[in-house]
Amino acid sequence: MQRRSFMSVSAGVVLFVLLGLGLPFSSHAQEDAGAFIQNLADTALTALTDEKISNAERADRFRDLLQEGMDIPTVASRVLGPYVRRATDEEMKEFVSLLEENIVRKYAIMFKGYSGESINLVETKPLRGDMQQVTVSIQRTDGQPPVDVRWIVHKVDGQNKIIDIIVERVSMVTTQKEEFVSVIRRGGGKVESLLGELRERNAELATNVKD
Amino acid sequence: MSTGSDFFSVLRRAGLGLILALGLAGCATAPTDPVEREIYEEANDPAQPLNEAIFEFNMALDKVIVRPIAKAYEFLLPDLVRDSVRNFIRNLKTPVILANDLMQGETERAGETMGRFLTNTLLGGGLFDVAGAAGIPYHEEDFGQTLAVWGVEEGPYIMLPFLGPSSPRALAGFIVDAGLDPFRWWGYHSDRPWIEYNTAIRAGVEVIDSRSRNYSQLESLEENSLDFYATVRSLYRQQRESMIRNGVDNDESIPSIGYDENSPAEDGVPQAEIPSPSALN
Repeated sequence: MQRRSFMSVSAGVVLFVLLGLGLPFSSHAQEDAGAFIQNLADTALTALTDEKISNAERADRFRDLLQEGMDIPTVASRVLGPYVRRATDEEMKEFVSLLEENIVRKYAIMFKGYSGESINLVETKPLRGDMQQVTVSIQRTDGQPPVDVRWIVHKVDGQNKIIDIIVERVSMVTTQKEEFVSVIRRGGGKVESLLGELRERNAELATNVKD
Repeated sequence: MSTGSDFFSVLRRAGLGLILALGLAGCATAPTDPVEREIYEEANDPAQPLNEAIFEFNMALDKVIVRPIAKAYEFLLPDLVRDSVRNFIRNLKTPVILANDLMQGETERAGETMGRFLTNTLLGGGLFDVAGAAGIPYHEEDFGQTLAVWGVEEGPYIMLPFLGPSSPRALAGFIVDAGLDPFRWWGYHSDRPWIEYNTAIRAGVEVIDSRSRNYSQLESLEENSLDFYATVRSLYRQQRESMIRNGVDNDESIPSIGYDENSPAEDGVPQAEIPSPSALN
């Protein structure tokens, strides 16, 4: 039973991987957070699933969308947990770029040849502060029940930016935070130990996904 | 007489020494540095070294036994058969799920559980999810969740051999559920092997069936994680929390997950510390 719940989590996480990180092309971010998410999902599915483009091209497109649609500095400081207070400005700067690279390397390739499910906007509602929560339902083609994905969006300089993606109640930020915090803790509490691992992992991923 | 009291004083000294040693070990694991302390408490995993060893064992077991069988199972049996296997096992869980629905005061969900059982047994022979197709989806419920609804704290993370991630609350629930399962009791009173061992057979088949549905996802999860142990712990807890709330999207959970709490603007601001039982030791 324990195992099963864990399994369904992992299925959710993979769906997040497949669909969660669709981001917008348009630089004119829509006022409405719901339209923002709908637009970015559509755009990502059009721009990234094309089998004819090279993996390098796909990664570049994904990076553009990511930089535009996600508030990476905020996500970066949150996934460090309490260690964010220990990170130097220098380390923080490098971490932001390593994290961005890591997300691109991990997820861009998964859009390759992806097809199928339709995405329906369920609701948009305000949260604490200027945060909005956009819930979409992903209809699956394999007969499984639809998956709920919640996007937490806030404004940066008047533009909508994603700060968390929650798939079936599993938060990307929370999960990533516990992973990163554990890596730093094992490395004797040094943020540098995480940076080292990320550098290594990004290099590995880069060689694995060459065309 | 004197040898007797000597014996007891030695015993007492040894006992005292042991208590001191344990106390020191306890102190050694809870760090004093505020950042490390916060992380230690957030992880709520005081037995981490032991848990990790058991996790390694479970992973090895999975690699050598569970995954190969699951792959064969998926390869050999058509989807329709595998779905029927799952439906059959789920149907037999009805009494435990129903009891927990009721103990949580979830009468509507209890009705769904009952309706599913009748529909799937009478119209689907226990093998087809007729009710699911008609819009009454399957849901799980266990006594660990019931305890949570009743306000029992989860307690620290524990990794169980064979069973995987758990907590004292979930483990207590697991044991109570075993007692609530009438098919288990039926097994105790039967000589026919299929019935006598039905609990073990169901558990084994369920593990293989769910593994066969998830191995590619699990593999990519493991590949992508820099610390699979911590990732699994996090996913387990979030998933449990969601199950306890029956998947209801709870606004309260948003701030408590820590939105903005770690934002650069609040750097260095000490967070309000709520003493947990472990902090008071």
